[in-house]
Amino acid sequence: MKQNNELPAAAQKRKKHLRIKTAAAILIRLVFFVLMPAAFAAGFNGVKSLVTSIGKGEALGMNGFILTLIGLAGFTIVFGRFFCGYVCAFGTLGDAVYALSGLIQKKIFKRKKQISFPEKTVPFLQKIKYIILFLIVILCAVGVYGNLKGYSPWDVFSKLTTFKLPDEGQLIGIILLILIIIGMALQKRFFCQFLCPMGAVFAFLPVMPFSAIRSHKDSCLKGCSACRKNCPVHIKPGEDQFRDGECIACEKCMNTCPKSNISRPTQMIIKNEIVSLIFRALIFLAMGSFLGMCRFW
Amino acid sequence: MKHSVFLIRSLALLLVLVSVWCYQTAAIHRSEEKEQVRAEALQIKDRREAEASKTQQGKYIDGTYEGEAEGFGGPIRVRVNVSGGEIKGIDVYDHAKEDDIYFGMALAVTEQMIAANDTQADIVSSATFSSEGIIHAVQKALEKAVRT
Repeated sequence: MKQNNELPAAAQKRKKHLRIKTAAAILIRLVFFVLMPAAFAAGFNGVKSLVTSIGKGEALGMNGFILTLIGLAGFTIVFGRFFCGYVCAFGTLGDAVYALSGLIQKKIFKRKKQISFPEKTVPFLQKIKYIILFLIVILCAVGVYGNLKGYSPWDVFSKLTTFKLPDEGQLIGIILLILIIIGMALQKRFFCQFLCPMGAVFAFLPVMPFSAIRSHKDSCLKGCSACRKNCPVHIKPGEDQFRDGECIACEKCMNTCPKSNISRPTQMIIKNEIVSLIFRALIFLAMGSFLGMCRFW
Repeated sequence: MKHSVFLIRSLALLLVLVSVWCYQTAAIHRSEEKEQVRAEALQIKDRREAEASKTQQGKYIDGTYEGEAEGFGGPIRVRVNVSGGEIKGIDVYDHAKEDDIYFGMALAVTEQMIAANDTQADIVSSATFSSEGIIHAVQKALEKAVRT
């Protein structure tokens, strides 16, 4: 293998590349946070709208929500869960809260290691989102969901993104949002991996093999699990195919692997990870603008 | 096999899509039958209403009215056109602060209000704030137009 004797120069180059990549990732996430803060809720409204119509026995009509759902699902099938990793405003909120919580723990409480959930509990907690999806689908199908006004923490969040305070009718939603933010401070991607019903839908979708992240295990360092340790959803690429649906395409594993063993087949075409990231972001931006996800045009 | 999970997931997705398509075909068939019955009922109703309106003045005074109300992200402004005593058109000319997808869904309330010639309409689920904004703006506009 070529990287057996990595030169310090090559390592330095890689380090610089990763610094630029991280900066690009933050910039992309900020831009999407400002431009499309309501996209995740609109996509899930598509699921709710479909199930509600079926529950009523009506013919399905095309509407903005269902179109958004089709767009997000299609993008996820082709490129993996890029939406979850880089676009979703709620995911970005989660990462920001976790980072802030880490900073507070380090500076004020002098903790060396940030608090997080025991790793063994994670795969079980990740199943909760499927139960939430199931419950919401049932509530929509029997026609009860429409009467539950003010329960959604997402509605409260999207209200806040317009710089308006939620109204008193949304009390339950406000309490849920506060609880979720506390959870976000304690675990990376707390909401995304444990609770998000839209994430549950995405996890069921087939991701094209050419976009799936995988590791070339033969050349791994013995006993190394840096990728899993740095993965926000605690997976090692290609270890358990069924749990690969959890992958949010954030590429933390690619950045962290000491042997640069992790890649996706599309890198044969676009070799530069930064270019590839920006490429996907631009395609999403084009699709999102076309489908009306942008708040400003 | 290398891509077995990918294939299982693709198959599952295909199954979901096929069943939705089957459902849709059946539902369209059923709604066509219902539509026929409804169209006949509507014709009878229209005839009765036409007779009634000959003897009675419309609900609203003719003219163009403007109204404003708070939507999801900001104010929604509407222009309502009344002629022959009925709501003929609702133009939501300012909705700068609404999200397009939600606003597009909420616009259904204007069709309802025109069809019913009334300021009541069912709120579009998941687009509550925009729907309520449009309805309230129309109500505001027509406050001045009600025949007393």
